[in-house]
Amino acid sequence: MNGYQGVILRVDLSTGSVTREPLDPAVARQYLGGKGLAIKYLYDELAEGIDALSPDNKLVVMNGPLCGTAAPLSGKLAIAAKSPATGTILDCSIGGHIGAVIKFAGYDGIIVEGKANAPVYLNVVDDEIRIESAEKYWGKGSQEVELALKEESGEGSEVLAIGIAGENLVPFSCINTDLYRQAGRGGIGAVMGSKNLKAIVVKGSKPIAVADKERFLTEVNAIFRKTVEDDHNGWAFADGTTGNVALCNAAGCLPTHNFQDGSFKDFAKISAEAMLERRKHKKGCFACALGCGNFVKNETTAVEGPEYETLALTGSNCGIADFDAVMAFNNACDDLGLDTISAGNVVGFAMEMTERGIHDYGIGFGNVEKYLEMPQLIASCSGVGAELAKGVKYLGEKHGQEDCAMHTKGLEFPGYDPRGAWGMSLTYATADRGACHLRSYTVLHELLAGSVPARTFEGKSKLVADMQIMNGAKFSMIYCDFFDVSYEDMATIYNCVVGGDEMTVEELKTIGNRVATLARLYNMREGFSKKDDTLPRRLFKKALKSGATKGVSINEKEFKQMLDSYYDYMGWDRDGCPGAAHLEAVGL
Amino acid sequence: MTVIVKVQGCLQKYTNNNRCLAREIKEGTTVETLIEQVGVPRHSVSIVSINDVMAGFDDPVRRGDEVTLFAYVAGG
Repeated sequence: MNGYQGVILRVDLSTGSVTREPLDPAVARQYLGGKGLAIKYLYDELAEGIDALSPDNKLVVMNGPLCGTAAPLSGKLAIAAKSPATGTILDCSIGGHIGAVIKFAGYDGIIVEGKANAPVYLNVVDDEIRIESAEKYWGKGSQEVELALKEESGEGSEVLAIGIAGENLVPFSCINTDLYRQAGRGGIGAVMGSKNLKAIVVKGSKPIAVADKERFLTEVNAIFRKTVEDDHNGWAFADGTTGNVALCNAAGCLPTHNFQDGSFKDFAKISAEAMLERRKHKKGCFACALGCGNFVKNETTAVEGPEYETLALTGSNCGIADFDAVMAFNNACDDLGLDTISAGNVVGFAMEMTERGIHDYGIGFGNVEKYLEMPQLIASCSGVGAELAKGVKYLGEKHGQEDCAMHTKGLEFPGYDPRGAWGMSLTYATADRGACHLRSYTVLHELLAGSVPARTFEGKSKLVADMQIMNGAKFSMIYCDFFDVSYEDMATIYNCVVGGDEMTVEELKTIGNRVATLARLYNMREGFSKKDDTLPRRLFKKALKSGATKGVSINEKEFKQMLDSYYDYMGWDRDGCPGAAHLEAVGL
Repeated sequence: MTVIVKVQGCLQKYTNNNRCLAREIKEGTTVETLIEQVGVPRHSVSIVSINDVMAGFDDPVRRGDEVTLFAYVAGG
């Protein structure tokens, strides 16, 4: 199989069995890899209603047909499971170099099932697979563990590791690689922790077959040049995602004080300029032409980031106008294995409840000293962290504050207040893993490209549906989200690498819809329905207070009309259910 | 009159790598005209702000305003 290794590695930690299964070429054609193939395995193999933190859940790690080749921005890896935070399907995308190295070891994916009796790590060196004791690594930070395992395994090895948050089953714990890159959302780290699996170490030496090498190199060269030389992609190497701070502040969608406002008076202190004062060098992932990573350093902290999401959620959303404090919080979260988006939401919510007298968590907006204590408390589930570690949904229900608990389906909000970019209201409401910005990042068109008006519902249902379908294919191929790749370029590169029957744009669209629909079916099987495609009532009831979005709230009636229209564009009925005709049309 | 122009990200390649510029313009000059005077291609600018609040390309620039030009940025 050109592009693929044709092998899935399956490891049962309960029995210690290791098997190599052939990858069915027909299934690979239908789901490509990454997200699509991962959720196909999960849909087929997970029983309905399982406990996400039980041995019944499976951790599915999938690269894609282009991964490991020079195809631009194709070096990512999907990690999927049933989410312990939401109960939905969950797929995360992680960068660095681990995706390619898994391919070099001879695998298109790794499926980990069961639960080890004691802490272990999985050691994969080509065909040699060992389940080894991780007793000495349990309780250690993910960065320390990664460095130690890389030293043991030697040059060329790559590591996926969890921190103590994952060990303690925090529902917003993440998996780390390359020290600072994460499969961040939905508690994927807790799934690994629930299996007593501290790390996966991989080293590989196998080649990857490419169907038409000459044409592949010509096309890759053309895409690299188009990508690097285009202003529309130049943001990555210039400021990275930090450029979004000033932009979102100006647009009035920068989360501030737990989404009570959309602009932050001290935004400049956490903006690109503050990052540039501390930047030492740039970083990128395997086969990346953009190089978005900023490695920054001050007297006490060295970290890759903070990215926009971290600056927004753990900065302005917590009233923190101190770039060095955000760096320290970010680095602590990385090592402890916490998702900074959810952590920033949880801390911001605790700050609001404290200031409003709802419950005293001993921390108010802008309190840097207490703020810096939070990652350790949350990851270790100690002190106030024991409660905060349960997430925003739990906190809202416990204190009767559901209206201002900023989540959908249990996943905390990313860094774009939908009152400043109305398409994001539908994005958060309908994303398959809960409030996620990446399934249909309408901000791209509403603000960053300025191609559609931000504060209107007109055209947004089609925009969200189109983006979710495209990302069904893009995240399965599996491309970096930051790559503004077209269907045409995706098909061209796929045909160069995989060959065989020609992949067309139409087939890619069908694959994207198939993947999006299968995710919907998984969630329906778990009891999710139209009632869950919603938003916290703060967005409907409360207007923002200042800046470009002063006085703006989301009209609930129009939001519901947009939701119905979105279902139409997806080919689902007005209850959000894909009917028999649609299932047949997308090959399900 | 003098206005301050801030140029974000990769747009600085059009301003000799300067992030912050002072420009003398006539009363009533629009943001779009100012962008032209600064030498940044209009199609490379995604949105603009005046005094940190999003503005339109047809909006007039006033004395003492600070105008920020944002490059296209994808992702987060």
